[in-house]
Amino acid sequence: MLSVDQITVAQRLDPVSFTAAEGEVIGIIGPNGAGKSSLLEVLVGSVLPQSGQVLWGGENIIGARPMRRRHLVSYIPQQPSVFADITVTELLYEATVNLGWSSVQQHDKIAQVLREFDLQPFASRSILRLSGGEQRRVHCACSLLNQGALVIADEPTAGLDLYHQLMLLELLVKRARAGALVMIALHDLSHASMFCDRLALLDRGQFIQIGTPNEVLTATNLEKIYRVQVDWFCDERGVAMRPHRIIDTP
Amino acid sequence: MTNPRVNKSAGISWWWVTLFIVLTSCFAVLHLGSGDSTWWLWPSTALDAQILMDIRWPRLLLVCLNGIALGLAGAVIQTIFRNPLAEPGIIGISSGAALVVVSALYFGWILPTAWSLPVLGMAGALGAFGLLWVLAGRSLQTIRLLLAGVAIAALGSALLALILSLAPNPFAFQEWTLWLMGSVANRGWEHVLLMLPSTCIAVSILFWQRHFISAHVFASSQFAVLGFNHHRAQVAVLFGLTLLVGASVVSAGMIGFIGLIAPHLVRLVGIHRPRALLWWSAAVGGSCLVAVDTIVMWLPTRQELPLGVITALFGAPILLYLLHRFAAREAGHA
Repeated sequence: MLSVDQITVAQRLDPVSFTAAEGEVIGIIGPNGAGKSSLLEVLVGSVLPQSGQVLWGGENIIGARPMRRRHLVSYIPQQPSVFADITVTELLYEATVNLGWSSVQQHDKIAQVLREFDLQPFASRSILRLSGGEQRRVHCACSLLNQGALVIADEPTAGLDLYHQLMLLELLVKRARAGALVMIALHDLSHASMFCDRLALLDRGQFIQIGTPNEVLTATNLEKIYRVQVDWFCDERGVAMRPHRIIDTP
Repeated sequence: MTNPRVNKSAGISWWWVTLFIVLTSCFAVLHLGSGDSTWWLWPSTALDAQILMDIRWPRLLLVCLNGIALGLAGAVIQTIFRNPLAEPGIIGISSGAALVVVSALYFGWILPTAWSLPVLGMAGALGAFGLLWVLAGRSLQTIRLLLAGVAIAALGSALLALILSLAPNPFAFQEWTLWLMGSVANRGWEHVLLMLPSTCIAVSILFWQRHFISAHVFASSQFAVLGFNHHRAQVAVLFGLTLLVGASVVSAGMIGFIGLIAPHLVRLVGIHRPRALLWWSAAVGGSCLVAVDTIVMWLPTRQELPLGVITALFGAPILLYLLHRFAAREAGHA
């Protein structure tokens, strides 16, 4: 169980509190500058909050030892990058650092993520010679290699084609069903409604609402927070929407 | 699935290892035997044996250790700053060491012992390291480190230029300028004994932190979940660099280009993995500097040329070639 208690980040995030359980997929949504990445960075440990605590099974993970976080958290950052002309497989080997795996385990896990992310054709190619979307898949594979119980993904589908967007989101849902807690920042509200069990809506650093997609993706919220009018359709499979007008604000 | 890492290193390296060992050995033999063709490694007289033991061997070991230190420091700095143009001088350690050495000579702070100047130089390097730590702040972010290092290097260079300009003795000015360009002439075992432990300690520290260094292939935003105590590891790496660069400056002056070029030469033969890059850069740096010093010793010049002159003469065209190659690759990729 993850319990976020009154987390604040100076000028970026007002007090945020919510709880989430293992097995859930939580979508973090909101317009640009809403504080989605700030919230995720606090959970990851790369930003220290001004106040509040993040409890995982009763343990405050904000000050957790680096090795504890290494095994607990899988993190796909918003803007991953690589700074060496190395092959995809070599980069995946670098991503096994500090996991304490034997070479057989490394080999098996790397082979597994290469398959999962459809990366086998690129395994021996330099990461710098791949397209942006292919590089993104490699980074996702590196990030998810450690099989953390808390998976945090900051706009993981950015730059991916539709097939690989769905593939990645299905993979994250699979991780959740296997017992992980998955938190994803998303801009695509259709994907958010399709793949997330609950959505947390943020706006200008303030926590607006958390609930099921049907509860959060209301016409009022969309008009007020996103400043768009939508035609929206809701049935038992989720919410589908078609934005059709920008609402001008004074 | 085969393991590409094993295949790659086994496929490329053996040729290069063989070539590297042969070339280094040739230069080492030429280095030891320079200046007199009647003897090489087996001197016939007691005087030759003394020259070999007291002059040639310490000089060879010193130049080799300097190359190892600068090559390794260059690879570490390029990796942690994620900048292929970074070189050991960029963090200001070498300027700090050189400033204290030149100041000591100018103000006559030195004791009548061979150890005093190197020890003062190391103190200058450690002082620059302390200043870097203070200026970069507790977070030790890469950009702040870089800016603090550039500021320290600029300040050190300015003060050095000031002291050199004010030097009352023109011969002292010339001597210091030559020393600043790097030289291992007239060095003895005391310099090797200063360089050896510093290099060994620094290599041990950097070996201990090798995973942290190589993790810099990933974006800094990912460091929080890679399992490192970032601050402690960063300080350890900087301290290791201080020992390498400081010992190099106090024993041989400021030798340019080796720290910049050695990692690029290693990349040129296809070695890009950060950990392999570190150790290969150290080896190539050592080998290159032995070659450069051999050229310096064999060149029939009236006065022995500073090492920095030869490293720049060879290094600059290599750098231009790399730049051209990089631009061509970018154009092909676009």
